[in-house]
Order: sequence, then structure tokens, then C-alpha cells
Amino acid sequence: MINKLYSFGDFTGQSFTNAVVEDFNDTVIKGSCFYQEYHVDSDIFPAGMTGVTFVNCNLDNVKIPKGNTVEGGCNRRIRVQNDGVDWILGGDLKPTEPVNKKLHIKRLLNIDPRKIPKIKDVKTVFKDKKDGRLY
Amino acid sequence: MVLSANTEWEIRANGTATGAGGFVTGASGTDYSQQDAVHSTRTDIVIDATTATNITSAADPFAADDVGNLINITSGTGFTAGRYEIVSQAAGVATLDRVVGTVSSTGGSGVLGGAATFLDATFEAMVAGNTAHIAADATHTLTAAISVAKDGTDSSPIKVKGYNTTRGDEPEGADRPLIAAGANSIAFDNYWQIRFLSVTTTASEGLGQDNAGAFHQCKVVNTSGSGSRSAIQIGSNARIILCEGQATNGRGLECGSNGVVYGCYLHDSSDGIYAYTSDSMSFINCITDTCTVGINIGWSGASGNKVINCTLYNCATGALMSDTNPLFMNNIIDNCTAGISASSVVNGAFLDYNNFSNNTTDVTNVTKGNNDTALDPQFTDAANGDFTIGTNLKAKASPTPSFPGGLTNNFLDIGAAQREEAGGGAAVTTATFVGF
Repeated sequence: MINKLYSFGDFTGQSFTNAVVEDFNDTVIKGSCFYQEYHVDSDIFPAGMTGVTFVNCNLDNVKIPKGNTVEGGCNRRIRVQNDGVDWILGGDLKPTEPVNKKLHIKRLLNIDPRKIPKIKDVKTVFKDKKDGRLY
Repeated sequence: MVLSANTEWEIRANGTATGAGGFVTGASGTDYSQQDAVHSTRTDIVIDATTATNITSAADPFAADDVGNLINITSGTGFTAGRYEIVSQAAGVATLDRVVGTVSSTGGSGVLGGAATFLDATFEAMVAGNTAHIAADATHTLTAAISVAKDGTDSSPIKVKGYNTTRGDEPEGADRPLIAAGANSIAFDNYWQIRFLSVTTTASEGLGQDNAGAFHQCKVVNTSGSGSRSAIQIGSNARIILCEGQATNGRGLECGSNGVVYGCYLHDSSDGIYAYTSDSMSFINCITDTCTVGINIGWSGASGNKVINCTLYNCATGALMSDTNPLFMNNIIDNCTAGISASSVVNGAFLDYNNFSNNTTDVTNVTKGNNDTALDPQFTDAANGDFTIGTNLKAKASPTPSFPGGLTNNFLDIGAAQREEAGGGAAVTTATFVGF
């Protein structure tokens, strides 16, 4: 059963821990964005949620409780690094590649996690498109 | 051959990732792109033994009504995946716009018709002259970044237009299609015209494009907790018209050079407009509201930027103006800690006919003009984003000079929002600034 309440919604940064769990259970949630910027594996769904199938949802940084399934979409771990860039993390929570890797390649920006500065330095992120000046 | 320049694309939240998504205007067939589901799926496609643009399907022969539709070849040994136009059909054989693989290849899979979805691959398939129609059928949730390398051209830009219920209905406000991007950037290359979209994002570049493009009536909100990210980002020679940008800790609009920003509303951001290194940008009829810096042209190497008929309100610094030779004219700078400020003396600045009011300091390191005023702009409801002015700044005193020769009077209100005079039409002909 398609969940009309939570399908095709923009729920970026929102938490549903206090929501009615029956509104979730045993439904199909399609095409919604639940992305959480600040913490990987964020607990945002109500306790006891089960039987939910997430189809083509953005579940980045969202913890999917056992008993629920994900079909398509994304469920990556993302964290901003010292270069000011959002990186996708591996299983060891170390950065593997920028979220926007293709754009970084185009902008001639770093895509090698070994070259992430040891200290915070956002200046390397922004390069003028016209003449390549950094600022 | 390539896809026709006359291809019109359909992108829906309820479409499918493999939906072919396009139809060539004027083609003889039936447009199967304007539907959620694909029209047909084939898994037995064969490439002709001698002509590599011809394909057949024994299970579902091609028909006359397929002509003009795109077919998305998704897999098959000897097939080149991609979207192709069916340019003609005869006796069940479809002729495509270009070579689809190696002659005599069999077992290809392809999808004909059906709306596509808001994906990088969809936009990469477009060619100069194409138009993509983005439906507001539901929220478009991005699950991967978009960074399109494909260009339009000067004479044939690629157009992306949001619509609410009918193509061309030019939606405003919440009627626009909403793109929930998450951490994913949406970045186009050169010569794209993007219109009538609303985007939420946390990416470093929320909605951007490189050079010679245009954004019209787009709204982008970047809620990232990280600094220096942009809601809207443009390269050089761009036109930004009636757009709204908000970046909680970043830049409502980040600019390249030599472009025009007209009628935009940039608010609740660190920098409303970030044009730090820009040259020869024109900012006309824009509002910056409640930003750390309303317009940031803070690098002394920038030059030739123009700020005309703008309203800068409730900013720590209305305009950070270190540009070597800026023009700053007919603006309202109100309720700012520092009105217009440069890091060092800018002798080449031309400032005049501006209204400074309620600022702690009006100017620093730049010189005010002889025709400046200091009147209460009487905003209708600035706290809620309504910057229409009262009679104080009505153009009764002809705040801009009459045209040379004195033959033509000029009555231009100061600031971004122009008053409607008695007898004027009740309806605004351009979208209003806030909530459009």
C-alpha cells in the first residue's frame, strides 16, 4: 500500500521519532527525501516502525531500522570534511569520494580522499569559473 | 545524425528512470512521452544486417505511431545504450537517428515512451535546441548528483521549464515543481535556460550553471550548516531574472562576471549576492534582506559592477564595495549597520541618487553623492518581506536626472519595488518579489 502521507515529500532534516508509527508500518514510501545533513545513521523514524518499503527515496545519513527495506534510491553515509566538501563515507566511516564527484572532476577539484587537508580549509572548494581564481 | 533539436522532453516525479522521455515536435507519430508509464518495452531488438540505424522486434514490431518518439536502448551486446529518435518506420522496421550498434546484433532491450525522471543521464541525453518540461506532479527527490556536461549554444540554448498542470503555464510560488536535492548539486554547463523550478538543497552549489545561461523565476533554499555554500550559482554572461535565493550560512546568489541579475530577492543568508571577484555585473531591481552582507563585491580586483535600483535592508553591511570603479545609483540602503563599505578608499566609485536611512553608518571609504536623500522609505511590511515604498520616495522629485536635453521627464522610484500610480493596472505584469 502506497503511503500517501509520506510519499513524494521533502522531509530534509526532519525527524519523525514522535510521529505515529502506525502511519508508517506496512506501507510503501515512494520518492521522498529524508536526507540528514548533520549526523550519519540518524535515527529519525518512530520506534517500532516495521514493514516499510522505501522506494527511490533519498535516505542519506538515515538509519533504517531492522524490519524495513530499501529499494532503489540512496542510503549513503555523508559527512563534510576539512576541505568543506561533502564526502561519501565507507564502512569504516572514512571518506571515499565527493558526493558531487562529477562536478569536482569538471572543476578540477580534489577527488582523492588522501589529499583532504588535515586542518579545515574551505578556500580550496571555490574556484571562479571564469578564470580559475581561488577565493 | 543526432537527436533532433526539436525534441521536447517530459520529466516527471512519477516517470521512470529508463523512460525514453521525449518526442520530436511535428513528427507524424503519437507522443507517448507525456505519460507516467512507458509505452512499450522490448527485449528482442535486432540491428539490421546491413544498416546499423535500423532495428526490428519480432515480438512487438515497430509501428507508424512510434515515429517521433525516443527509444531508450538500455542494454544488449553490440548495442550502444542511449536515447534514439525513431525517425521513420516501414514494415515493422524502425529507422533511428543514428547508428545504434553493430550490425546483426540481437537481444537488445529498449523502452519507448514514458516520462523520464530528473537524472543526470536524462539531461546529458539532450542536445542544443531541446526543451525539457518538468512536471509538478510530485516532489522530485534526487538520489544522485547532477553535473551536466552537455552544452546548448548561443542560438540554440537547452531550455528547462517547470510547469504545474499544463506545459507553458509558467507556475509561481508553490505551484512550481519542487526538487528535493539533499546533498546533491544540480549543475548545468553552458547555454542552459532554467525556469520555474523550486529547489531545496544543502550542496555546495545548490542550483548552478556555467556560462551564458539563464535562470528565470527559480527559487533555491540552501539550508546547509556549512559556510560558503550557494543557493544559486552562475558563471559568466548569465542572466538571473526574478529568482529567489536563500543560503542560511552561505550565498543566496554567487556570481561570475558580465551578467545581469534582475528583480531577484536574496535573503536570510550570509551573503545575499556574492560577487566577490566579479567584473561588469549588473544588479538591477534586486532586494537583499537580512543578510550579513547584502551585496559582497569585496575584492579590490573586481571592477565595473553596477548596482541600480536595488533595496538593501537589514544587513550588517548593505554593500561591501571594494570594486575599483563601481556604479551605485538609485538604491535604498535601509536599516543596515554599515550601508556601503569598502576596505580601503575607492576613489573610482560613482555613488549618487541613493537613499540612506536608519543605518548606523551610511558609507565607509566611499563618498556619497550630492543628490542622495535620507528619507524613511516607508516600506509596507519589511519584516515580512514587503518592500513596496511609501510616498516619501515616490519619484516626485525626479530622483534620477531628466534625460539630457530636458525633453523627456523621468519618474523612476528609488529602490527595487516600483509604485503603482493612480490609474495603473491592478495586476502586476511581472512577478512580485516575495513568494512569487
